[in-house]
Amino acid sequence: MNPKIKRITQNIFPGFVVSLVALPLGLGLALASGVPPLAGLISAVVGGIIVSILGGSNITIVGPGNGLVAVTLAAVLTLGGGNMEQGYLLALAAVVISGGILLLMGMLKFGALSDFFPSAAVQGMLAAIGFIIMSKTLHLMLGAPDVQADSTIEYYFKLPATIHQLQTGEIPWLAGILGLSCLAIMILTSKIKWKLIKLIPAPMWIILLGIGTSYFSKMYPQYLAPLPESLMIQIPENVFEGMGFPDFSKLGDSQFWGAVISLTFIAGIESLLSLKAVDKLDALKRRSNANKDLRALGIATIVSGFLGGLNVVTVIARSSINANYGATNRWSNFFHGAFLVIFVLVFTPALQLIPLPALASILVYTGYKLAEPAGFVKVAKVGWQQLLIFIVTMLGTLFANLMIGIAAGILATLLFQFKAFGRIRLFIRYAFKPNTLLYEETPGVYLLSVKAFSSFVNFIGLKRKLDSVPPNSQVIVDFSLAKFVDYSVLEQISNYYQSFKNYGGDLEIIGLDDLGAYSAHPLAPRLAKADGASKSTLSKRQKTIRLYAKKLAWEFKPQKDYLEEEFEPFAFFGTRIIDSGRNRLTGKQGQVGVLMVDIDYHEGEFIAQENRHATMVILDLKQEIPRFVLDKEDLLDKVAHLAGFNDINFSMHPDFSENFKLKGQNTPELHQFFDNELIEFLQSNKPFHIESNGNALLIFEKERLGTLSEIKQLVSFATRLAVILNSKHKK
Amino acid sequence: MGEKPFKNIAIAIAESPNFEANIYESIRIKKMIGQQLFLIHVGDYDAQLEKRIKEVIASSEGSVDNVEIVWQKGDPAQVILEVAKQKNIDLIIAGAMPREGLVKYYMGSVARRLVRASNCSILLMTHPSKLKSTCGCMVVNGLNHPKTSHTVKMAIRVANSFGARKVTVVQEVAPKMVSTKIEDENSIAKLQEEKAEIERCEKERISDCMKSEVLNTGLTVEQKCIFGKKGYTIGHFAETTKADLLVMNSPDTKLGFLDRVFTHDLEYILSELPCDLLIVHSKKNRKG
Repeated sequence: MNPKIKRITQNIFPGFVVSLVALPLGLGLALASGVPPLAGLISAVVGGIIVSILGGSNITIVGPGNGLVAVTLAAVLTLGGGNMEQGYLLALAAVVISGGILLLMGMLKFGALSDFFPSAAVQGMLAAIGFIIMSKTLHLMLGAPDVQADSTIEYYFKLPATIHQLQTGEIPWLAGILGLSCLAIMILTSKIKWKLIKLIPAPMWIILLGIGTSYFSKMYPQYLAPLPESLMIQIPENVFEGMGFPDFSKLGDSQFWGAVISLTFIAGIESLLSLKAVDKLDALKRRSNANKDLRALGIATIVSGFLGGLNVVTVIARSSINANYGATNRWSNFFHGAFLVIFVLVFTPALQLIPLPALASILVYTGYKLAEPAGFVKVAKVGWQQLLIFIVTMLGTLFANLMIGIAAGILATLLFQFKAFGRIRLFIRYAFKPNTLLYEETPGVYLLSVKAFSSFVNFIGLKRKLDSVPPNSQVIVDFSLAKFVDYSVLEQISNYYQSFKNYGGDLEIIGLDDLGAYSAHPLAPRLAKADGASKSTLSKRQKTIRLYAKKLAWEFKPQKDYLEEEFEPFAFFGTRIIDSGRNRLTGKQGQVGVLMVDIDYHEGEFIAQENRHATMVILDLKQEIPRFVLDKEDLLDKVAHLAGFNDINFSMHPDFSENFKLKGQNTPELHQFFDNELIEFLQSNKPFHIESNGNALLIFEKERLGTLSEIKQLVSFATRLAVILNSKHKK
Repeated sequence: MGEKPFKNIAIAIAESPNFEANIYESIRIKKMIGQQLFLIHVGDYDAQLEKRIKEVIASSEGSVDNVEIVWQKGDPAQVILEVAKQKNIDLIIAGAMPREGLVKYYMGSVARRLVRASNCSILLMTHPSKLKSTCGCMVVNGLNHPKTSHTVKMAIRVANSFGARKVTVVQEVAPKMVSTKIEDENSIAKLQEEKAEIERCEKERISDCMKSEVLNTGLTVEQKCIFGKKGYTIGHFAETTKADLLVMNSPDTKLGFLDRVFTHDLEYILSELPCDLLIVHSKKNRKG
């Protein structure tokens, strides 16, 4: 088959499966938002078609979003002043304008917007949205469509009353049973591995069960009393009849603009977060163009609003189904929209048989997924501070509104960081100063150094630098000049780690071992000498070194250690003061003892003190060898006291003499020591700084901490050198 | 080695814990890069102090000649600037101030005024007591600016005189110079091409600057093209690579109060010295 056509046809099936999920979800989300059910499908159809043509992503699916349920419902209620019909039309105007703003944001390149919010606050906001979605739909699932309450919490307080009504028979028992068994289907299908059941997504099973029940009760009312009209979905015979047209009469109202801002904010955040998550699912490892996608979503939202639909956002659950079923490009998004059109036009009579409790169960499950206890536990593991931020945001969202909730979360995060950093003025000063440096250290290896502190406040600079690195190269993120690194940054960097790995590159973090962690979690914020921060937590780098030690059957000790005895005899430390060592790796190669350590030392004293950290190896030779210093170039002058050391050249190896600078005292002995075998070995390896103090060798590469691969190279070089020196010993 | 890069060097001395160290250090520097040293004492003539200064000078290593002590009363910065004019000074040595917290050094008010108002080069020392140290690695700015050519040449001369091992010319390229915006995987490839082209042009430009300069044996000159905020990036680079001396162009305009509020170019480095700093003054009438 023509590959061009194949690229299109292979996306028909994923598009079909997604539409099976999108149909019930679209109807349900619209229902929960307080608008006619078809509004949800309109946004899915319009979005699917427009974004598949104009979008900048590959395998994302767009449509009505979970997060927007809360804001849309609030907009309908406040704008309509109790009149849902009127509120819907006014909310449509807000949808159209929010689409315009999203389009503008895309044009102004606001694609990085979602990175400006602290992770814990965003997670808290999503949990709150989960509670909001569940609050009303729980009643609906149990068969009570008309429960009214002024706040989310009140809905929960009214639950016992609804259950009581179910017990007394005020609500038909069939509604409750249907709702609960549909919820059971939602929960169980994710746990069952039976292929036959898995073939059809759970929401579609629920639709089939719902329609089947309604059909049965209609045919045989003597066995099963049909559900009342109020518990059936309202879809007009002629679907075009139901479409609303936006009412722009409240343009001057502040409440209207409040609704516009909330819609825009949530639509933007939800889309961008989903986009990032979906990119990780792409089998072809493409990077989406967030700004282009934002523009397409904006246009789709405008059109959807004019046709009576909701905001169009990128949705994570439907997109991941899309990826699972093998979608390769935007055509699946298009087909999902197209199938929805067919469903609505052809199967309208069947759709009218869907009972509301069945639909509501899907939403209860969706809401539960957002607010599930596992989410709390996940944040709590990072540390109590993050949990506090999470809860503040969640409660702010539940008791006030989304904007106040997220603002409270940001404020809580800032307060926590002010306290951690110690000095507010300094924090603010650095928040607006550049603090990152990126350069190519050696071809294909980039060093990204971060100074002062790194948090969600100044993450954008770090992100820009990371984005500009070719993804197939190796990046070393060096935090050794930073005093504080927060959870949002570490979480984002762990995402980057994944994407670099996907492209065959690599990302390693160094300089975090020095900072104390707030908890045992790998992404816990880290702060220098913090109160409350413990030093006992191993960083990822330390854990990988430990693993490496295990493989070599060597000993690994991460604790702080004092090493003057071992290191002081070397000329390099003649003018430097050793503070301590960490991450000590010890082993043996034949006669020779090998010691690798991250060593902290400083130059100068008092105000002139400059702290340094480097990874070094010592070979304890247990034999006398001549004293010398060998280096390729620039570190030689760092060895200040070389009194009586001469430059030593080898007439037999002019290329070696040219590349390496060797200094020593006893020339004849050195000529003997550096025999052909040793010189050839040195020439065939990366140049290291090697120094002999008479009976031990000091080996290191750079005056900074090594990454795991650098450590492996260093240790491998040292052990191979030890083998050569062992053989000399025997002679 | 050729001619020394500077003729007349001046340093202000005062009785402080660093008094002796400052004199030793300035004599050492003068021996390497200058001909005549002026020790400026702001205040009245003091016979006892003169005796002490002379003792310190006499006790320094090797022979010392061409050292003159100047006594003058007045506002420190003004005195130094006046003497600089009278004695035709072309390099002033000044000390940086330590600062608590994150930043280790910054410019004291006197040094800042010197940078703003002087018509000669300035060497800002962060380690007045670091006597034994040698200057191993130097970092030089390679901005696309008429002054750069002279600065790079001076830096190489200074590196030769100091016996430095390595000079890295850092060309900072503002990210907005790159027209490609990273949005998806295609633009990353395009960006790399564009960057490579910019890097090639930058290399050529700096190589032109250095053409006529002779390098000492043992001195290597490297070029590094870094994309980042101008003025900030080079300081951060000097810090991570542990450079001993950073060489910069003199500011185009006299720095004023507004420059501190809206940090730019040199101001980033002045507010947070990563290491010793040499600001090379380029005279307008000087060619190249």
